[in-house]
Amino acid sequence: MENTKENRLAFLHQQFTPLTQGVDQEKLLIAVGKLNGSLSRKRKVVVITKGSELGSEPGSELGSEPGSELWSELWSELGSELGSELWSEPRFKIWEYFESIWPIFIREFYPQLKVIKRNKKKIDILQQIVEAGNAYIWISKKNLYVLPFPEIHLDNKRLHNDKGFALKFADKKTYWLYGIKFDYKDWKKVVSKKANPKFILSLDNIEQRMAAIKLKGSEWLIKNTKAKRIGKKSKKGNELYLVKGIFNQDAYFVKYSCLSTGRVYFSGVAPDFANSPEELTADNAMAWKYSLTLSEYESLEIET
Amino acid sequence: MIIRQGDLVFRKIDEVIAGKSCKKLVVAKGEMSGHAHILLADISTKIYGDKTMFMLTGKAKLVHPDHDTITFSKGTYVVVNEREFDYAGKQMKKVID
Repeated sequence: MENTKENRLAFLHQQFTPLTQGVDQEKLLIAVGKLNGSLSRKRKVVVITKGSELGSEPGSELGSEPGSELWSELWSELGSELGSELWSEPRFKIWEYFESIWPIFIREFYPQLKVIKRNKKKIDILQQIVEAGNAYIWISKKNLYVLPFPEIHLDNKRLHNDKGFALKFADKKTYWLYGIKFDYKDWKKVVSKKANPKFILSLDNIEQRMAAIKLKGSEWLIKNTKAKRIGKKSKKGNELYLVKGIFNQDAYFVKYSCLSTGRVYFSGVAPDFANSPEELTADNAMAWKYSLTLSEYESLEIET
Repeated sequence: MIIRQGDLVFRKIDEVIAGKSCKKLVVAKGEMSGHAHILLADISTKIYGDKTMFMLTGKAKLVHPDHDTITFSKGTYVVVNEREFDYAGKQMKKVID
């Protein structure tokens, strides 16, 4: 493959594909066995199924030993031959970054490196490990750790699942909606068919509130809180709502969109934000949120 | 001059800040996303102050993964956080993201 920026990115994406298609345990263990056989001495193969299993090995050993074989050779030679050129590019453009992919990537585009030629067998085995659906290998003095590739559920490249965990790594599951992390209890309440609109409006974190409202829909929230819009949508696209009977007092919420991401937010404004009925407007509410006067809010020089 | 990037507003004021300078300032960081508003000074610019008020001796860029980058000119800026009213807790609070 020609060494162009486009090809480098495409290659990394291509390497990532088998990792998303589940692990072939048999194929993986055969490849790991080969890798073990290619090391200077054999280790015990440990397939990690619980986070605690990794904790039993001293961190210093985990951190230093892998580097003594293929990795450190690779990094040091690459560092001296290519400098920082390589690292400034794909690593930050593609979030799918996994250890075992890198030697394969380097072999594809920088085959002239001596370290690549010297470690041909090991890199062939790493290729088999990646093809079996696994990217994480750690080698300590005693053990060769195989970490199952995390099981992930995505929506538009962000962690998201309203049916269960969005990320499972070993035995640890975490819950996300549209890239925002939730405690399991809060996630469960949000995804429930009987979700409580008061609970959603009261979520402390505005990004969690945004994600919960995105899941349920703004119309669902407005309908289930019997929110009444006050006035028209402003030129800036903001809307002011009065919510009665949900909290212990009448509540004002402003609905607005992020200019950069388009995400829709509902945010409470102080019950006394307006000094007169004429000031009960969405833009006045937004001005209050940023501690600005209305004219300052309307004339913001830059807004992103 | 007033500038907004997401949940932060920057108001230009007439103040001079002395003390230690830096080239990079993390103005705010999202709790759940980890995404941060980071001020990066141009080569010849120094940043004085902290995340509540800072002074630039030249141009600097404010970057954030979710927002367009904003170029700041020389001057001193006060940082104002977006706020909201929490009707469940009956209190005003800084927006948490």
